[in-house]
Amino acid sequence: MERLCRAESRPEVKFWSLQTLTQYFQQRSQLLQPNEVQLIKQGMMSWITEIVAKREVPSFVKGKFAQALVILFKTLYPTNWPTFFKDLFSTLNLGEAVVDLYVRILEAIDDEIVTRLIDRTPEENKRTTLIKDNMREDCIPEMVKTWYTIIEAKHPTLSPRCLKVMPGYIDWIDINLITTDSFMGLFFSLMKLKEYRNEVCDCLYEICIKGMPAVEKVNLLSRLQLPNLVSTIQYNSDEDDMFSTRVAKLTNAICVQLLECWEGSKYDQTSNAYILMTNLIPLVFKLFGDEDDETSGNVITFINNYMMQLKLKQKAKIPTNDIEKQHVASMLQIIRTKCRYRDDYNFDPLQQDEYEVGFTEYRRELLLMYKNSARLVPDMVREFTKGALLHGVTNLQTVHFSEVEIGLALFYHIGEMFNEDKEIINDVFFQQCLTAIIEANVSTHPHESVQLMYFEICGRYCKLLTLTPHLIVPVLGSFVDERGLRNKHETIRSRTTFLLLRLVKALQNQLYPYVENLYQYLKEFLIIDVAQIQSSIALKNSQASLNENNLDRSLGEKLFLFEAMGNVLSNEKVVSATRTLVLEQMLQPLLTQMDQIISGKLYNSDTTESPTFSTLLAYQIEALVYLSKGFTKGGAHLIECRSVFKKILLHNVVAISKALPNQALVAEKVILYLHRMISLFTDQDVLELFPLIVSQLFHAVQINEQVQLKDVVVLINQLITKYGTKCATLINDLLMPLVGKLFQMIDAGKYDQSLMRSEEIRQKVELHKSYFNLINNILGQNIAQVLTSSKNVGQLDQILETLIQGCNHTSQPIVKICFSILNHIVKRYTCQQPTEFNQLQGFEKYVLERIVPTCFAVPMNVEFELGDGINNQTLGDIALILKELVRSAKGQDFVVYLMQNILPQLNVSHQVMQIFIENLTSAEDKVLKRVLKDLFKQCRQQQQWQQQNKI
Amino acid sequence: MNVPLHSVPDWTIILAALFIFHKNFQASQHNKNIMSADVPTAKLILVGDGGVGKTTFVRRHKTGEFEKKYIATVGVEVHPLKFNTNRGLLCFNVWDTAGQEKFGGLRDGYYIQGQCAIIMFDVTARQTYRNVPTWHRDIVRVCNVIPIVLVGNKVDVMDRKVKPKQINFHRRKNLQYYDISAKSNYNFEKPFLWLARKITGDVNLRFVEDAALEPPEVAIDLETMKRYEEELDIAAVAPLPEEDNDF
Repeated sequence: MERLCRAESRPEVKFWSLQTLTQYFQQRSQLLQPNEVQLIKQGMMSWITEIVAKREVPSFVKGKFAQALVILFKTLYPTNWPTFFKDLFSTLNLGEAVVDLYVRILEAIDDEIVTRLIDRTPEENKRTTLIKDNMREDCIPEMVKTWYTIIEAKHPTLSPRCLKVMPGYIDWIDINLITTDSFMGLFFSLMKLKEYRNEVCDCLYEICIKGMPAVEKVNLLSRLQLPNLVSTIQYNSDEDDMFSTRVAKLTNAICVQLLECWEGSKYDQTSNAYILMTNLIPLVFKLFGDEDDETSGNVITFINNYMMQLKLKQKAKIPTNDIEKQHVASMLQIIRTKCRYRDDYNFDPLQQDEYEVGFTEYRRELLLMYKNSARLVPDMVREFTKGALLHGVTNLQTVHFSEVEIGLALFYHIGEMFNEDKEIINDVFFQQCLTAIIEANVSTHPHESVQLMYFEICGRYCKLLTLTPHLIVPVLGSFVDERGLRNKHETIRSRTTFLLLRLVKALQNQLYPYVENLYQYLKEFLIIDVAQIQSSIALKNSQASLNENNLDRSLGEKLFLFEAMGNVLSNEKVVSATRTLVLEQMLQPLLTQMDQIISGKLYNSDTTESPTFSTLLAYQIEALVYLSKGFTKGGAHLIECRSVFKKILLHNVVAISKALPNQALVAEKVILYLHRMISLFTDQDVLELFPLIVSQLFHAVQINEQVQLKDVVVLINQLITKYGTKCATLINDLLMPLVGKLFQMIDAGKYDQSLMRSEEIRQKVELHKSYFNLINNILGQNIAQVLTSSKNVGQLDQILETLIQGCNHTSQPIVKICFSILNHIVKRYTCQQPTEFNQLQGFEKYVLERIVPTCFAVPMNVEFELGDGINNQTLGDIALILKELVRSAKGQDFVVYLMQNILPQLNVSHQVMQIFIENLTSAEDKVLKRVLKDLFKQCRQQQQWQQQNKI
Repeated sequence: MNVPLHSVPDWTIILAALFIFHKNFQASQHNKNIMSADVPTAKLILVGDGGVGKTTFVRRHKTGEFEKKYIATVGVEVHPLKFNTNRGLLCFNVWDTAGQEKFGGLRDGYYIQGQCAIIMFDVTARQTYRNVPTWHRDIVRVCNVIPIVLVGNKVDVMDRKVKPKQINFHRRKNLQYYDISAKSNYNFEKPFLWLARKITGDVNLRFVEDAALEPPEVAIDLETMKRYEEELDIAAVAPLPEEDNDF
């Protein structure tokens, strides 16, 4: 191997030899004998002095050598190679090539030992900490000196690279080595040179963010004159945006530190930190307003933190003063300017580029800042918004479109910060602005971005129109004519379709006089024709549209219009005859077409590539589903309409389902229709019709792969949720075959969960989840008796076992559901009255030996993140389970069981156990959960510690 | 136990290495043959954890799939992906090291002379994102500074684990980032366009016709995703709920 390294071979061979060495050092270094170690060390060092110093070596080989050497160093240093750095430093006088290699070695040390970006095992972390500790004593002062020499030489490539590697070290070495007068002098002088200033900025930035108490940090920064430095830097993002972004980053970091210190001083206006900070704020805003978005974006951390401090200050009853208000005003103004669309912004989504994507993202971030400031100084933000808005809408013809747009956008966005029903509706500001927009005829503006904002505003503030009824007709008009639904821009058409539904929902009680009128306008959109389906299918099959499925979307959007019509029609104030008439007119073409397709068996001409008629039928059923949504609300006036949907079910939907049993899309929509009908029908109808329907569906699942078992389970869940005990018989009959089929389809839960990334497994997980939802629902809706009935008791053991299995699943939501089920079970088990579980023989064994250990084992697993939101809920259920058991009639026995069998395994002191039991006995739920979480945290730390020590 | 240095069994690796370089050479010769001599060509290395979808991604491109060269011994597929630009034809020789993740020993040898790279992770699996820095480090060590795109695959899957806000590695290292979905072809061309512009130094370079891709297997609903992002936005301004209100 040594020979290979030195041979006059091709660089690729050298590369591979080094790779082999690296691997050898990594995996088998403990096999080396001391004399061999010595030989390798010498070999490696002589490679530097003999090969690198004397011959041309390609850079990828040098990189590989540096890695190999550092891996070797990692296993030997300090014990078996205490002189590593001494050896290394002694080669530095051998010329440029060796210095180049030295810098690569520094990089490799950072990569392999220091950087936190790369995951390491606890064992490895221990090793690297040891190395770093030794390096601090052994070589760092000397190393820093080598940096100085390399940088001072102003070598065109080596000096910048050395500067680049330094930030990684500044983080963990003694800062005083870097902040010397000579080093800072060098930095300051290099700041004036284009070739080095970017890297110098990065070093200074690292000094700024180095962890130390805020006060000390501020003292250091002011001693180093960094605030002065940044305020005198000349930058120009037009010429060098890499530099301007760094200046912004550095300024931001300095200001963040100063702000923290100011907070620590309880907002002392005379503190050094405050003075330094206020001096820098003009620079911050100058950077914030820079043309270059990245430069601008680099200071928003400080601005956000500053705004948050002002808010906290207000909370502490220190009002925002004039200077601070001035700052907020500057920020609002800059946001307004920076958010404006440029002339070259491309609004066509299919032609957008990184620029558009980046701008949209940044604009969103800026608008978020704007919205947040509305909480800080609401009056000021209202005032500002109104100014910006009126400037645009009163000069519609004369100002640039982007000025109109931003005025509207600011008004639109602050709506999020106020409560719709309490604040917005009672605030004359919103009323005035909305009226101004509508009366200025903004909807007629030629630019699509302005039009879009207009409709978004109407959608958001539509409730306000109930206060100004005279504006309803003009707004409704703008939605349905060539400004809205008939607009030439696809985006606007699509958005207004959705927003019209919002409008209709909010203005139900105002729109009833316009039902017929509205229908006339929408009529042509409420038809799904063969041609549309055909082109939709053609589009899907072609590759022309890669990113968007336009036609499918426009089909989907039609559904909003059906829903809107359903909403308007179902209003009580609509004249009954009108309602019947319009509904009939709407349904007639749809139902006729359905009949024609079914009776004429047109679907027989469908092919696998273009299933035109079955797709058409599926969409028609879906349209009916959306239409029916409005009729779900009670009210005697709707009885007649509801019976229409029942007729459609019995006549049309059933016929379609029978005619096309093999179409997945049809099956899916039929189930959707059934879902709606459960909420639409009378109880009597449901209980009469659904047992048969569900049995038939389940039968269909058995013989037909296109009907999704998951969907059927969801339907059954809906029935259970709505009817509970009333559908117990149905569930009792279904349970055994249903669960049997489910188990079969999920391989009894024994699929490979680690393969969550494969589509097949994902589907199994979904089905698995729907199974647990079913069990959870059965218990939650008080029909647990079906689990232990004579029909199903034979399967109970298996079901109970799946619950424990589910608690150990890799999917967090499944774990959560399973513990929730166990909680239900334990509740019924500990119940004073006789229940199916506490009457069951041997059930105690399941509770004590299966449920309870699982409650402890799952959260002890390192994969279970204790801070996670879903897991937090799981912990809540675990706490409840244990609490129920401790506080039940047999609680004393359970405590003894815990103390003897469970808690000792956690390796905690007797005292901790006692406190835990006490909490179980008497603490409130919230407290108990926290106690439980702390217990697991502690136990896991201990476990980890023990494992590390074993190593 | 004492294994003498000169009889280390890793000899096999070195032999394999020699073989690969021989094959590399052949592969590049082969590529020269299948393309007219003057099509500018760049070696692109495609890396990322196993299972993130590298092979699916590269196979979306029909002609690349057709003309790919498979080097069986080491399991590398070289796909010549051609794109028609306003400056003429351009070809990326994509080195798909599929399945090589497990044999860590050989992997960075493929990077030699790489001119650009794509690092891929899976937005539905957090660990694959956590490993991105390791891939990046390995590339930089061998190739120094080359244009690199980071892509998050499988954004069509509803259960996304790595959220856009959590993706920030590219900012630290000046990489370009794109969400992609190999299955739906979503953003397929974006990484190549960005790399093409970087390599040619021509910011106005455009692809003049759509590359022939396999038809999408799933449709991605951008509108829904946009709305989803907006909702996230609203969540960001909404006041944080009090702790522990979920009992």
